[in-house]
Amino acid sequence: MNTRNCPSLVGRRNFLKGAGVSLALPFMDSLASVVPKAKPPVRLAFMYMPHGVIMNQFWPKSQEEFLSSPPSIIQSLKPIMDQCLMMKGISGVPINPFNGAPHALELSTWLTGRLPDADSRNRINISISADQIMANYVGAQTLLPSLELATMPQTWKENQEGLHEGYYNYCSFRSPTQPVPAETDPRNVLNRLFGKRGKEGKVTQANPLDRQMLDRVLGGARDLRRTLTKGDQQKLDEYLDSVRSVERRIAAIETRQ
Amino acid sequence: MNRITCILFTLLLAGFLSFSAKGDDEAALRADAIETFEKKVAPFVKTYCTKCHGGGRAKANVNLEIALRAPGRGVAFQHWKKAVANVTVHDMPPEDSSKQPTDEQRRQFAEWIGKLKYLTQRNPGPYVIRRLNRIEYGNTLRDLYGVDPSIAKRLPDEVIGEGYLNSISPLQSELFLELANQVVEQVVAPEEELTTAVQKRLFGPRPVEGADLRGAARKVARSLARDAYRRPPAEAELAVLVGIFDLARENGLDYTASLGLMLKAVLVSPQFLFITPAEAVKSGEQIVRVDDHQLASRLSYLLWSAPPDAKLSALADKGELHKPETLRSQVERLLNDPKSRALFDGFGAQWLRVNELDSQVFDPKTFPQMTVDLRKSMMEEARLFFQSIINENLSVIRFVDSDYTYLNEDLAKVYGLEHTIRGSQMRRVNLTNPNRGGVLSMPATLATTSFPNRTSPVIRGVWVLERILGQRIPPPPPDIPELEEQNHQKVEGLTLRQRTELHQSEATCRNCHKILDPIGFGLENFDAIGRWRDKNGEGIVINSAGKLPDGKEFTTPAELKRLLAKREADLARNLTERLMAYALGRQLEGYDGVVIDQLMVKITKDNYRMRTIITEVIGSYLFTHRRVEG
Repeated sequence: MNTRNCPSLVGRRNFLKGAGVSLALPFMDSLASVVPKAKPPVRLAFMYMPHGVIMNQFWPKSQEEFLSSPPSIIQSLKPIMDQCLMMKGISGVPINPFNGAPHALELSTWLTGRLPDADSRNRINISISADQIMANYVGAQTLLPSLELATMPQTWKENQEGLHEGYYNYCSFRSPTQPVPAETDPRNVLNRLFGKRGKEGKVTQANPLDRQMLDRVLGGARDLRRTLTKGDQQKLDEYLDSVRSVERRIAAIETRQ
Repeated sequence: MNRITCILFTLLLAGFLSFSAKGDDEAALRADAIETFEKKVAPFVKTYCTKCHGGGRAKANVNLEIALRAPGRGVAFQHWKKAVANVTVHDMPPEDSSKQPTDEQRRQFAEWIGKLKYLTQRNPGPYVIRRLNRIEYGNTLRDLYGVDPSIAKRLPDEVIGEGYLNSISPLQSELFLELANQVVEQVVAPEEELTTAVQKRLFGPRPVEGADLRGAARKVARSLARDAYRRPPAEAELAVLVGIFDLARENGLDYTASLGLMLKAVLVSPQFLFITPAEAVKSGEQIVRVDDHQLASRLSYLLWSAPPDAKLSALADKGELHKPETLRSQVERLLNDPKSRALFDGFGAQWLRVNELDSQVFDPKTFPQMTVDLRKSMMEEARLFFQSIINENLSVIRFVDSDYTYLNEDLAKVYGLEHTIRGSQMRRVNLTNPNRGGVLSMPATLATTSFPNRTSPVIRGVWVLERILGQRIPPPPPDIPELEEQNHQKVEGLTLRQRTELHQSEATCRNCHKILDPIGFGLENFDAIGRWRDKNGEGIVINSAGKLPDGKEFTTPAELKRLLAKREADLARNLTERLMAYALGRQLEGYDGVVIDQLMVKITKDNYRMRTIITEVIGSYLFTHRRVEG
C-alpha cells in the first residue's frame, strides 16, 4: 500500500481523527490516489451509541440554541452544525412478534430497517444493511469496501423471544444471514489500513503469489462444495465470498504498488 | 400464500408429525401428549387465554390460536414457552380478568405444556459445517504447529456455544491469511538456515539431489492435510495442494519455500477452517450419523477446544469411534487430560456468567481491593471448583452445597480467612462456615451479579432462578425507569431491601419481582465483591429472610443453599440442557426436549453425577446424528 509515499496528502493521525469513529465506506481511495488535489471522495459513516445520553446535555432547548450554543455533548459538532439535522420521536415502531425482547433488536434493526424472519428467529435471517448496500456500489474499487469498528467485545446474552444471540451484537449485515463482525483493537485497524510492519520495520507488501494461491484454494473449495448438502453449501458460499474479497483486495494493492 | 392454505398446510403438517413416532415408549408418550393436548391444554387455553391471545388481534403477539392449530410445530413452542412463563408467575391472565386459574391449575398447565414436545418429529437438528471459533483456531495451531495460541487474539471477539455465530466475513478471511503467513514464517526456515523441529516433523528430510521433488511434495501434502483437515484428504484435495507447490516452483521458489506456500494454502482452506464431513451424504437420506471423523472433531473441540489427537484420529480411521463403549471411554480419557479445562473456559464460565467478571466495572473508591489479580483469583476459584466436580465425578448438587473451595491469600481476605492462608498459590480449603461453599456464595458469582458500587438482589434473584433452577423469567417491560428515578422522595432513607420492595407496589413490576427479589435478599449478607457483612453501609442490620417461588422460606444464605440443594432434579436438567445447547451450538427446541427427557432418566439413576451428564450428552442421538438440509 502506498500511503507512506504521500504523507502530505493525508497524515495517519489526521486520517484517523477525521474518519476513525465507526462504520465507514470508501476510505482508501484518497490515500492511495497519487493525483494531488483530487476531489475528495464522498464518505459515509454510521455511528451507534447505545445506553442513551443525558438528555438535558444533549438535546437543544430551542432552534436558536441549536446553532448558537449547543448543549455540551454536541459541542464538538459546532463547526458543521448548520449541516446537521437532529431528529427524535422516531422510535416506537412496533416490534411484533418480538415484544418481549425490546433491547435485543436495537442494533440489528438499525441499519437493516426490518425485523428478523419470525419463523427462523433462532438463526440469523434479517436483511443486508444500508452500509453494505453502499459498500457494494462504491466499495469495489477500494482496498477495504467497508470498515467496522467497535469499542466493546461481545458478551453472551440470554436469548429472548427465541432470538439468536447475534441479533444483540451486529448492526452490519453483508447478506440476510451473514453479519459482519467489528474490529475492537485500534492496532489492528492501523495494520489493515496502513499495512503491517514486518521484522525489519518494512511495511508488508501484497504478495501476488498469495492471490494465485487463493485462486487455487477457491477452486478446491468449489470441488468440495459439490460433495456437500445444501445447508453446508450455503455456509461454504460465505467462505467463498469472503476469500474472493481478500483476493480483490490483494489485486487492488498490486495495481497500486 | 393466503390464510386458508396456510391453515391447511399447518393442519396437514400436524397430522404428518403424529405418525412418525419411533419406539414403543415414545409412541405411548406421544399418545399421552395428544390426549393431554385435547383434554387439558386446549380447554385451559380457550377458557383463559384466546379471548385476548387469538384471532387477528392477538395481544403482545402471543397467538395461542395458532399454537392450538399446530401444537407441535416449532413456531407454536415460542407461544407455549411465553404462555408458561407468564402463567407461572401469575402475570397472566391479567389481574382484572374475571376468570383466574387456581395455583394448582397453573402448576399443571406448565406440566401439560411440557408434554407437547412429544408431538414433534424425531429429528436431531442440523449440523452444518462449522467454522472453528477463535479459541479452537488458536489451540489447533498450537497442537499442530507448536505456535503460541494467543496468535488468534487478533481475530474478532465472538460468543461460543449456544449463541455461536457460524459465519465468516472478509475481515476474518483477511486475518486468517495474515495469521497463516505468520505461522509459515515461524515454522518454515529458509533453505540456507537450519530447519526447525516442527518443520522436520511436517516436511520430513529434504529430498536428496535428483529425487522426485513433486512426488515428495505430494507425500508431505497428504500428511499435512490429514492433520489439518482432521480426516483423510480426497485425491482432488491433494491435487490442489500439489498444484500450489507447482505454482511456487514456477515462480522460482525453492523446494522448502514451495512447501511453505502449500502449508499456507492448507491454513486458509475451508477444510481446515471448518469442520467438514468425511463422507458425502447419499441422495434421499434425511437423517445421517455424524461420520467418525466429524465426530472426533466434534468431541475434541467440545471437551478440549482443540483438534483430535492421534488416538482419536486412529479410532476414527478405523471407524470405531461411534461405538457406544468406545465413545464413552474416549470421553473419560479426554476429561482426564488437563486440556479439558477448556470445558470450564468455554461452558462453565458462561453458565455461571463469571466470564463477564473480567470486563465488569467496580467503583475503585468503594472497592479498592478489586484488583486485576483479585479478579483472576476469583476466576481461578470458580474454575478449580467446577473442575473438581468433574474430576471427582460428584453430583451436581455439590455446585450448590459443598464444604470446600480453592483460595489464595488475596481471596482468603474476602472470606475472612486471611490468617490461615499465605501466598498467591491457589489451594483447596475446607470450609466450616455453612453460609459458604458452592457457587451461590462464591466471590466470582456474587461480584458478577452486582452493580459497580452495591449489590443487586434483583440480578442475584434472576441469576439463581435462571442459572441454578433453569427457569425462564419474562423480560421487564420496555421504558421502565430505574427505581431511584421514579420517585426521589419516596426512596430516601429506605434500605436497599425496602427500596427493592417498592417494585412490589407497582402493578407492572409486582408479579415478577415478588418472585425474584426475595431470593436475592437471601444473599444480601454478601457485599458486591463477596465479603460477609452483618450490617449494610448505613449500619442497619441486614435482613436476609426470603422465600423461593414454591413458598419455602429461609432466613440465611445457608438455608437458601440447603433448599436449593433439594432441587437437584431441576439443577441437573438445567445443566444438561445448557451443556447440550453448548455442545450443539444452537438453541434447543421441539424434539430436543424428548431426548433430554430420556437422558434425565439415566442421569437421575446415577444420582446426577457430572461425568454421567457429560457422557450422556455426547452419546446422545442429538450429538451423534444430523439432519440433512435441502
